Amino acid sequence: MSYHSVGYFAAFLPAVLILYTLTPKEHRWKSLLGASLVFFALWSQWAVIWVFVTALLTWYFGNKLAAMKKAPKGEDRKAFKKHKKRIQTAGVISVVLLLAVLKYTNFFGSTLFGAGWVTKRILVPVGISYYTLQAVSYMTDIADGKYEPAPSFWKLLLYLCFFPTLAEGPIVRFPDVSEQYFAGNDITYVNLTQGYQRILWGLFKKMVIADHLSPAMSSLYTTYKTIGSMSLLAMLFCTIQIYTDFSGTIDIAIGTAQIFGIRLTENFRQPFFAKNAGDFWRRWHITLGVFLRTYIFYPVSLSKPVRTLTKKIQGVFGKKAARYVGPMIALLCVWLTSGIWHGPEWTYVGYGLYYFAVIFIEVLLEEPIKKHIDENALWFRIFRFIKLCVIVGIGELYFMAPDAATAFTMFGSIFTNFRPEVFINEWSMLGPGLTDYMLVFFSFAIVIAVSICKEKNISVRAKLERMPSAVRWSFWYAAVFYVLFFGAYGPGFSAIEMMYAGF
Amino acid sequence: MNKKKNLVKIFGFLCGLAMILTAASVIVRPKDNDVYNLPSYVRTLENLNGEKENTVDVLFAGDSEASDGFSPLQFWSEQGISSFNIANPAQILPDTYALTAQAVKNQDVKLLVLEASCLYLDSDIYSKDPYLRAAEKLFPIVHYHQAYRLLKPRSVSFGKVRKTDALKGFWLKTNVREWVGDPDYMGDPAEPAQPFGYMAGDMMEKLYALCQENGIELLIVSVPAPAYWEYSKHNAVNAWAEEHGVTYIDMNQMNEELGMDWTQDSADGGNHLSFSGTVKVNAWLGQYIKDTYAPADHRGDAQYDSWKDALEETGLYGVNS
Repeated sequence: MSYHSVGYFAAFLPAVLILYTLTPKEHRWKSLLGASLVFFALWSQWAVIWVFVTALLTWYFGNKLAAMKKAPKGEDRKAFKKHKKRIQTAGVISVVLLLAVLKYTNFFGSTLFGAGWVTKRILVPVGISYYTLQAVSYMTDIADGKYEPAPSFWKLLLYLCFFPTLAEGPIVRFPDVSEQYFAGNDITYVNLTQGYQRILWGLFKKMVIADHLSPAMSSLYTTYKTIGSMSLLAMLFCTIQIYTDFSGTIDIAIGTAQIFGIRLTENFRQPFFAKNAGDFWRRWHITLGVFLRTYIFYPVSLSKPVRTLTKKIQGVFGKKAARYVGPMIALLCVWLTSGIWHGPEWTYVGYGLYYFAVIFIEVLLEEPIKKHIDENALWFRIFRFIKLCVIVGIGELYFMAPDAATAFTMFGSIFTNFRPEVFINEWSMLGPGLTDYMLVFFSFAIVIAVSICKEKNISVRAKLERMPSAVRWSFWYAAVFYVLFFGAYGPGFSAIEMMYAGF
Repeated sequence: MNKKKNLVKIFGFLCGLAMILTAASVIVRPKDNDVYNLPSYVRTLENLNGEKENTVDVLFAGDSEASDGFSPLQFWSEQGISSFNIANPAQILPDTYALTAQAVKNQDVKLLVLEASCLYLDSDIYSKDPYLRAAEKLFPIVHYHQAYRLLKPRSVSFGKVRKTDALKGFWLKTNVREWVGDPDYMGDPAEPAQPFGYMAGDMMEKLYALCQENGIELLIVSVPAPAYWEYSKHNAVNAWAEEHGVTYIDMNQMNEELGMDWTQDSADGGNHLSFSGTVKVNAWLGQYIKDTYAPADHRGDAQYDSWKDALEETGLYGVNS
């Protein structure tokens, strides 16, 4: 069951709402847990067992670490810390190993033993990459004494598999949500209506924009992969598609949680208004970025081996060069992790390395640019925007490619075999018709307009709420009708899954 | 009190939404028969309705094998048969049924030629997802929301328009891709019959009954499709045809007679005919129809200028009408 299916809205969510409302306040979190497990099982069948295994490991190591706040009197503090670190490492490795076995066995097997290496098909539970990161953050924070562990195993299980965040995140930290999950908030009119409005916005992005572009993508990556003009179109389409699909699904997740009075962390903040690639990643998939920064970047850059290496480099090449060593090693680890996290494919590793290279160059050029260019000049801002679009477009084209060779063929074709006449004559044969294209571009223009307002701190919804009720009701009727009428679903359309649920 | 007021507001909003969806459903739902693919149904119907009344003698129907395979202009050019192709890619039998039912209102159709591969498509017009299916039945706008694809600036009409398609429903393909494989591609003639697609058998009965009611002869044809057609399907279609006393011609068994050259006669490696393939198939089929059903040769009759004009406009098959 996916978040944009009728079953989710017409059956699952109303059933959970009724169950939640009828349950006494102190037990409502149990309704959410029950709903989450049912949702999990509907999606992943018996593989639901694996989230229990992760939860048990997290529960065991979390409690063990929580019990080790201070070194007992008379015990060697250094040895105690070392012991604690070992337990923390064992905990993290155990859940990551489970992820690796379930999701990456075939990847590592075929890498080590050749493409012919196959195992029995492993049923990978939905959201394993997301809840494993939450488990890692939980154990690491408990070890650092940042907060108390979950009061019960079942509450920890709810934290790991809360159904709106299960498939695509956002990746939340325990203290940010635990109180909200367990408080049993009443369902209020404001939360209910605003939650559904947010869900509608997500459905608009996912079903009206992203899913309409989907049929074109397969032709662009196969039939037209050697035609430069079509590769350029693929770059544009896949960027729009990934953004609207992923952010749309996150809107549905955040909207669903809001209905239950739970505020989840935002995962997108107008990414195309970023100043550079580094800034882009602080606005795109924010919660993954925060995780990687907190649990990979800082620990690696402050680790002993890196500090030692920095000192050595300083001795040979001077202070200026040494300044980059720690952050760059940490950045490389961040992007390798990010790449491999996205999936068991070498293209994702390449995708991570691509962003590492781009951000590395950006960091090197930061100072000279600041010295010689007025960053507020209009020409520079336009240049910066185009540069960002090109960087992101190349990244997404590579990200969506079935393999690296196809991606490189497509990049190459832009410079060697552009052939604009193919685009002019055959754009209408890609799948979507003229009406679909007009619809997609008009709808995406709405997304851009709303993003501009958000960037300027203008809340469109707040403005709308101040309007007379006749206007508001008409607006929401029109919005529901727009999604129902123009959405890509049902007869004549292939069912399109949520893109990030596969990661 | 506030809680009650809010509940009333929510209930009121939902009632209003239900009314809007019901009204929209009434607008987009076809009047007589429910269909699967509304845009292709409406466009085909518009094109068919563009023909003068009682001028179409033969209808060709089916999925892409038929839409890419049967060229009414060739039948006109060679035998003077006035025909129209109501097939569309992936068209399922309920849509064929609905189009045929509409066609007989204005046309005196004498023969319906059905390409058999559509029997292997599921003939259920509603979605498989039970919740979506229920929503489609409750509010037909959910089922027919593809109607937006008809909202092109040039035409918004759902009604009867005097406008027709120059190729009379034929989807001319210019591409050629060779098929390579065993010349006896249909396999073992003793293969057990492969059941038709979901609900296709029921729809065939309905279509057969419609033909009977309207005095239309039904002819089932399989056009050569080496990558797709096999004896298990042939045997099932043949059994149905024998049971109903309907003629079934499997042109996959006639490759030599037709002179098929699979280096040129397939558009896509054996699934659909290329233009040169259709020329061979239609030449034989047109003569067969002429010999068996004796439809009138309308060449020279001003009532049928639509075919003559279309032939001149397209420049296909030489202009010998």
